[in-house]
Amino acid sequence: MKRIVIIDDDPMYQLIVKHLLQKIDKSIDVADYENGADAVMGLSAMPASDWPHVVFLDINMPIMDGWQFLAEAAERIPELAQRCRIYMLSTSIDNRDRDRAEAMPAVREYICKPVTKEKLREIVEHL
Amino acid sequence: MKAGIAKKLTTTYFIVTLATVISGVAGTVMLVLNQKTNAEIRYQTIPSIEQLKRLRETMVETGKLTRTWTFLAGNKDKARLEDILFREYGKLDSALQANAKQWGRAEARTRWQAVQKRTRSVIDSAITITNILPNAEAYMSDSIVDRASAICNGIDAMVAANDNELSTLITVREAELEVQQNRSGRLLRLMFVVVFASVLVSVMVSLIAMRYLKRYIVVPLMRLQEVILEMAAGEVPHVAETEAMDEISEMQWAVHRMVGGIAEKVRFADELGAGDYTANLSLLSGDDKFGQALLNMRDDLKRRENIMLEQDQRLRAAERLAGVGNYFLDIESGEFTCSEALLEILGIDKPHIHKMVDWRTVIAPQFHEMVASAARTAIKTRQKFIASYIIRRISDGKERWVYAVSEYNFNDKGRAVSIFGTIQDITQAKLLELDLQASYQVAREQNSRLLNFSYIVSHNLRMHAVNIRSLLQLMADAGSDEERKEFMAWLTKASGQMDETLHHLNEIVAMQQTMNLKKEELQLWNAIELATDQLRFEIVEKAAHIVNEVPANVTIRYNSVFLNNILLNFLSNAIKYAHPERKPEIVWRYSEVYNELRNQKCHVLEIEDNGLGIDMERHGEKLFGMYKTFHGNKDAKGIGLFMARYQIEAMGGSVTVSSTPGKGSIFRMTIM
Repeated sequence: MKRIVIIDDDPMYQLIVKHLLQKIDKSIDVADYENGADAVMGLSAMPASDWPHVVFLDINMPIMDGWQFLAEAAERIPELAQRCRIYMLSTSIDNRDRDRAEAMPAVREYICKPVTKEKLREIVEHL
Repeated sequence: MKAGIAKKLTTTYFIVTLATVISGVAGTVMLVLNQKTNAEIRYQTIPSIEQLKRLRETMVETGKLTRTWTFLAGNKDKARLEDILFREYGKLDSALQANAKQWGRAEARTRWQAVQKRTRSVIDSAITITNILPNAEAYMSDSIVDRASAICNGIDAMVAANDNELSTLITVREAELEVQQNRSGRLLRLMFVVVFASVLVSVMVSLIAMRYLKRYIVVPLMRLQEVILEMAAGEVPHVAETEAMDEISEMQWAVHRMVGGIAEKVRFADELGAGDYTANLSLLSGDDKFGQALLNMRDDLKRRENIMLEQDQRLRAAERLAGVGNYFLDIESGEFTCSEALLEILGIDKPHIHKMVDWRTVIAPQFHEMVASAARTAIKTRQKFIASYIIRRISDGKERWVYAVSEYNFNDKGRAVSIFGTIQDITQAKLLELDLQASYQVAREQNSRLLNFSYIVSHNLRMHAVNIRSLLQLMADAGSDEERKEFMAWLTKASGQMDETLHHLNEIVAMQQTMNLKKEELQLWNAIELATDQLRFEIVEKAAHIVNEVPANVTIRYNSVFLNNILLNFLSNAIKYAHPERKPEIVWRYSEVYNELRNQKCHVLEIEDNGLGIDMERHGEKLFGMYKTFHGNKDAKGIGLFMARYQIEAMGGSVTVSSTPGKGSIFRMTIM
């Protein structure tokens, strides 16, 4: 069973992505967190075997943003980056964010919102 | 004695010479006399005696020869008689005549004349004989012969008579000779005496002359030499005036005057040295170069002192204007000298200070560490000591900012022995600097907020646009009407959210543009109570306990809308982020703080909670930033704190947070 986690504080966006994923593959299990802190707590609470295959990580979130999440995760759950594919999603079209994301080995790819159905399909099919 | 040295010398010479000359003359006179006497004897007396003797003989011979002539003389005898009569006798007679003229004794002369007379008759008689008997024939005549014989007898008688006379005369002359010889002997003996005496006299006169010279020439010269040697060593000896009027005393007088001139100049120099530039000096003459040079020096010194005084005044004035003072501290003795300007800066009364005031009492305590460390560094690296710090003036305790630059002086061993430094009051400049820094800080923060804001604006708006776009896409791909209806509902919601975001952003922009904020006198306690009331539901829901410790009498000048917004924001956060394991305890506190530098007092309001706390290291920066999520109410963390901080700062205050994760937080705001 494929598991995907969305870490984004916009519920609207969560809905949209969930819907798209359902469209692509109904069997995908999608979970979400509203911010990085919740995500870290949640992920570190579960066994590594339960970890998702794909993580969609937003940058701008309250309490703990995307960058901070990566730092925290590297400390607490370092295997996350190896076990899961982390995609960084953002509305930011600022090149600095893109460069920063691409410089991080934990981030597989930087995707600019909106994520298209085709892109999702591509990601899902690679699982 | 108005004789110059030349005259004195001449006189002495003259006297000595005179003595010598006199001796010489005396000796010469003696010699001459002696010579004369000898000459007399040799050329007169002795010859006269000889001549007289010769005459006697001649007479006798004549007598004989005449007899012979008379009685038939041989030719030889005749010749001889003729020789005597016509040659020898004449010579002899003349000679004696000449001689007799010179005889001193009249008696002798008289006798001579008598003798001469007789001899002459003899000769005449003899001649007569020769005349009457010239040849042999004459002899035939007996009468002639008898005449001749008679004459001969007469001659014999005369000769005999003359002979005695001549003998007497000779004796007389011989006596004369003896006398003369005695005289000569006496004269010779006298000469010895004279020579001896003259030598003695010469020696004595020379001695006297020497003493005289010594007393009147050598001794004064020696004394003068002493004086001059002393002067050559720089001394100013006393020179006595003398009565004498010769060159030496003139020299003495000149030296006396010179010494006097020097003594005067010494006095003058002393006065100058003591700083008296009105001192005066009387010149020895128009050519007194030394004196003139001294007077010029005095004028120069006076001029330079005036220049220096002026410079000193200017320096002091400059120090005063610039608010700079200088000081010199001898580290070992603790002796401290400084300019008036420094006393002014430090607030010290002049008579008060000799030793260095303990700098710890002057420099504000918060700078002690920095100053000590800078001093140590300066000494170690032998660089200038430069530091900026606050001092407390000794006179009134007022605080001033100063800028200190000083140099350490080191001895041979490398120890710091003294400091020379300047201290400048830079309070005004410093305050401006602090102001500027504050403004700069504010500008930087505003700028970063602005960047943040503009970034977020585009970001946030884009987010909603993206959602709407995705939804439209989904709608287009929708399989059924139901799905489409669902998407439509979402779309409505999304556009609503966008509208709301735009609305909020608009508010923020509007707030940032507000220039004239209306301020009122507000009671702080009341405002807090109002906000508490507005959140009563949340309070009850979370069973929060609110304590308002702000005194009732505190009033502030503030914008009421801002104040309400701020208080609501803080309070709602404190409630919302309560710790799940305990009931929220929230306390409002008030205090006053005196800002020393700005000479102002300001209010400080604190709200402390016991909630979740915030990791300020991680989230501190973002705390007052803006987030894209607006869950409906302004008081959601997204924009609430951002606006609250903006409002606080617009009112001239500031806000800080201190927090311990898991324990709680304190939000602290200042109000002017």
